[in-house]
Amino acid sequence: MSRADKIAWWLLFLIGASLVGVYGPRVNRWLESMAPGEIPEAARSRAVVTMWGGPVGDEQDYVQAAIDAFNRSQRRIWVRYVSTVEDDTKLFRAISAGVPPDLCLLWSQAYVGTLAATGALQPLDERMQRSPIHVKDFIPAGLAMGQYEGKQYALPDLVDISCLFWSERAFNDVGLEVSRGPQTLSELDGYIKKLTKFDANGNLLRLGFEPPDPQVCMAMFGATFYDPEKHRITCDEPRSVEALKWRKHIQELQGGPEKVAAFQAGFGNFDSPQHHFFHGLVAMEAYGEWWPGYVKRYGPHVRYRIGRLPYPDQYPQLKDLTFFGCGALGIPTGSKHPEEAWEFMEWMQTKKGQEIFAAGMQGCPNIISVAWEMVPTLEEIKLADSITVDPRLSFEEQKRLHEPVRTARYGVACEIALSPKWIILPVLPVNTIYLRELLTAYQYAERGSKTPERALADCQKRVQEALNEYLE
Amino acid sequence: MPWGQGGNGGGGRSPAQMMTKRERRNLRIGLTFILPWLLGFMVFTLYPIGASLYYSLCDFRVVQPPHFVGLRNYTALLHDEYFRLSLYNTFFMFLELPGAVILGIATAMLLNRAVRGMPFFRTIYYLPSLVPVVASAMLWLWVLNPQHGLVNGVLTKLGMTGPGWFTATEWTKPSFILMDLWAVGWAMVIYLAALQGVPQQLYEAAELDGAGPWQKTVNVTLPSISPVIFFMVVTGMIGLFQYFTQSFIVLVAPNTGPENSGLFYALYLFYNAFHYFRMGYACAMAWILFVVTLIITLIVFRTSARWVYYEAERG
Amino acid sequence: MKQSEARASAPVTFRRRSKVRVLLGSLVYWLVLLGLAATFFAPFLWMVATSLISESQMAQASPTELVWIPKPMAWANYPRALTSFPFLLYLRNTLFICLLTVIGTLFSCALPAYGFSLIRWRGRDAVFLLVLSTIMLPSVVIMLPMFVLFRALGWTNTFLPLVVPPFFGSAFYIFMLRQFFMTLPLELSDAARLDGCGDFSIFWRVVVPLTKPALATVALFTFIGAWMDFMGPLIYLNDERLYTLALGLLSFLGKYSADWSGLMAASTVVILPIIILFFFTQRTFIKGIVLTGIKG
Repeated sequence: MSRADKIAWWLLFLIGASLVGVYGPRVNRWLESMAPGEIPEAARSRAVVTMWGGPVGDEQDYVQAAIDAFNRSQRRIWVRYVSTVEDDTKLFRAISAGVPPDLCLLWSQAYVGTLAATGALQPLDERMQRSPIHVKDFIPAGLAMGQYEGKQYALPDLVDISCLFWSERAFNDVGLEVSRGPQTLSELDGYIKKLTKFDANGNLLRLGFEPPDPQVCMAMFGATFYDPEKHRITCDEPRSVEALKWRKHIQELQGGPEKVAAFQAGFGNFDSPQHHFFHGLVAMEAYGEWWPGYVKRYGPHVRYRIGRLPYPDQYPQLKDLTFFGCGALGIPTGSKHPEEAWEFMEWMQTKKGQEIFAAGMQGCPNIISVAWEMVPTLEEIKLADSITVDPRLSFEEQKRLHEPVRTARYGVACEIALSPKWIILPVLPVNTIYLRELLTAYQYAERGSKTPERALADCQKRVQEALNEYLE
Repeated sequence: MPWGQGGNGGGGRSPAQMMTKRERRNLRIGLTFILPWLLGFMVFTLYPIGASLYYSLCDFRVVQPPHFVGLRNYTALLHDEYFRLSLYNTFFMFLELPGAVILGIATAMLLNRAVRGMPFFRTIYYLPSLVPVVASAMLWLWVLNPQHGLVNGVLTKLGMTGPGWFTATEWTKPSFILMDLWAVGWAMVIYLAALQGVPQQLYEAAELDGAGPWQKTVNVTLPSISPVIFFMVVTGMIGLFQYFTQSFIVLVAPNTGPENSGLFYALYLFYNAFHYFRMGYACAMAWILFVVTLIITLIVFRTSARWVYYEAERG
Repeated sequence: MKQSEARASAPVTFRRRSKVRVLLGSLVYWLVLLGLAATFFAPFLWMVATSLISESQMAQASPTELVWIPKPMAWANYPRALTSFPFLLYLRNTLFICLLTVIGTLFSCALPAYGFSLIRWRGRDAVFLLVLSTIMLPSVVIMLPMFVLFRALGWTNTFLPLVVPPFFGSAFYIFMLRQFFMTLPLELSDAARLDGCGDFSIFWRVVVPLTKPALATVALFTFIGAWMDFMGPLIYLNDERLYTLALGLLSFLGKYSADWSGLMAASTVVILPIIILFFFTQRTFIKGIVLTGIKG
């Protein structure tokens, strides 16, 4: 290289370096501002509570709305929400890595057990005693889902219940009475047979009833998950086997598990107008009180009804049993701002917090009195049943017209949540493994490589072994 | 220096131990040059090997310190149905190896002609292997979608019903193999280079003996590039033992495929370590993988003498 | 000579038949070549085609209908995909990690490679055998204790676990560079030494300039490896502000799990830089792979 060339390169390097030096930090800050959960200038002096949560997309906006309300209500704390994109595994990895967030909103309460047992969540009892909120104000199932070995480790954000939704158009298609859903499982069979559609080659065109998750099936049959006295996982007991056989049966009615899974692979995004329910690909769903919110957001022109999940004919006592789930708020061990995080959690459980949150998130409030406020009157239900929204209208207009339907259906779900008979997934340190093994056992049994009894027995063995490690 | 530099040092030393000044200097310089690696070896190889062996003998829950339990993890592994299943799933993927070798060599032979536009074709064949694994996993999830995917769409046009690919138990692993074979481009280029290194005289000699194209391939080409094939097979095996990223993404962690058909060894290891908080158990799995890899590599090395021809041996 | 005579005296029919056979062979060859090329390329076309389908059309598409040229072309999918995750931020992070990895690898592999090839010292070959044996080590054996170590050091959730280890050598590239350095004649370094040059200046002034292609290859491969690295960022980067493109794609996949047109748009964007890079560095690539192939 000639002398001139060398000088030229050095000059270029110097210019480049100075540009980077001067503009670099600014560009860096601009880039980092694109990351989710950015803190505005005004809030930087506050204690920042980083909150990780499952909700993403539109639901995230509702969480954010509640958070914004809290941030506005005081000047000491700023809650910063970051979505883990419905994936609690990210939280687990962060806890493993020793860098947990200050507050976490677990997507599923199933994780409370694992985190509590490994000491990853802080107990809340002391704080609850000092707080103005009373245990008896809560829907009991909600609190129960956050308790492990007698201590409270998490509070529900809102509670979820499972109920049945059906599409009016599908019912009308096959001549079923729209106002009445199937009450018992044998009735459900008849409905499924009528509603499932196949094409000339035997491929699915419409599912009658999307098979529910294994734990919902077990709850429908009143199967226990765990015997606390004998410390025994009970997924291999007769009720549980019945539940599995039933789910296998309804898949057979709809072409078999492979066909159903292949059909489901073609579904559009859940959080979008492309959800399969809105395109007539599924007639009945076992969803929760959050579904009316989804319909309003993505498919306001779709007419549907709500009812309780059917119960097994042979067990009429299960008629009013409600299966609960929730998102769980907890403070990880190693949180940098545990007291501030608790303040936010506390605020979330006040009437105001619950109202804001429930209005957006469409979960059922934890506080009994607030939940009662949501239950609709008969007139409201009648009105909701009669509303037809024209799909040619603008989306905003459709949503506006649909709103009474949403509140009415949602209110019916809240009423279901207030029922005295309830069942939850017990809080165990091995719930993550338990749920995965259940799903696997169901797959093995449905696809035929193991008998239902065998699949569940294997599941029981594996989960029991994992549990025993904790019990030592 | 009291011990005597070079030449005849103090009494009682054998000639082999004496180093000349030059040799000592060279040793010092040599060690200085390899210092980065040496440090890395101690911190990033020796220490982890020792530590993972220790952890494998402990019950280690990550958020709590480990405590020693002896061989319990190993005996638990032997009874673990998923351990056996993950080994089976991983070994099943070895079926990919013959396909990759054959496809790699075949495409290399195809592209070994001085035809017009050859660089263009080589680019097209090579391009898939440049795609980041995350992106190609997403792409193939879509290509093999049973309802809307490219493959099933084509099959339907031909009058057949496509299988469920990633959603069907028997087809999960073949789907992964298909996805991997698409990225055979980089292997192809290596084979191409090897093919171009085969001396022309060998082909001419074979032709004189009346060999047709098939015989030329089997008797000249394949033996000549057998060192490269050997290299590719060994590295392929080592890579397949650690098959992780594709399965993590395609099966949408933490799922492991219908009936656990996508539960590969490295995936199961990962879940044990980072989702179930069973670090000790995972380390035991890692050690077993280490031993298995060693054994199989040794076996392949030993048997290689029979089918690998090195230049030097041909005299 | 004998052969050409034989050919000249061969009957005309024989010549014509072999011409047909050659033509036929050529046809088959071209069919296979083009057919395979189409098969390899089809997924790319399909990816781009899908990325241009509007969301609403996706839901309505009948199951087995293949859309190659969507009408209308939903170009809006691209900005939608790009703005749904902080693409530029992740790009910055990825580039940062890649750059440091390349520098670290070059530094920590070239020096030992020189040490193993152009200096004779006691025990050199035995230690080199040790280096070779570590290539066989499955990375998972190392990964778990390293994670525990980095956790104890407080390095988790930073770039450090990804960026520091490359500065300490990689057995594979040491091996590759050493093989290449071995092809350099020893007389070169001996002559330089006689001139009074220290080994480091030999390395810097003689060896490095002569081995630029090999070094460039190592740089390129390392860059691409770091670009695509997934497991490392997955376990060490927990803060979204540190995510790499690979992780960003994953979170995108989680968010839009069945938003296929958006997913394909994002994939296209991630794949494009690599393809562009390839077109510019094609020759280095092929040469480099040639080197690996022959030395391997």
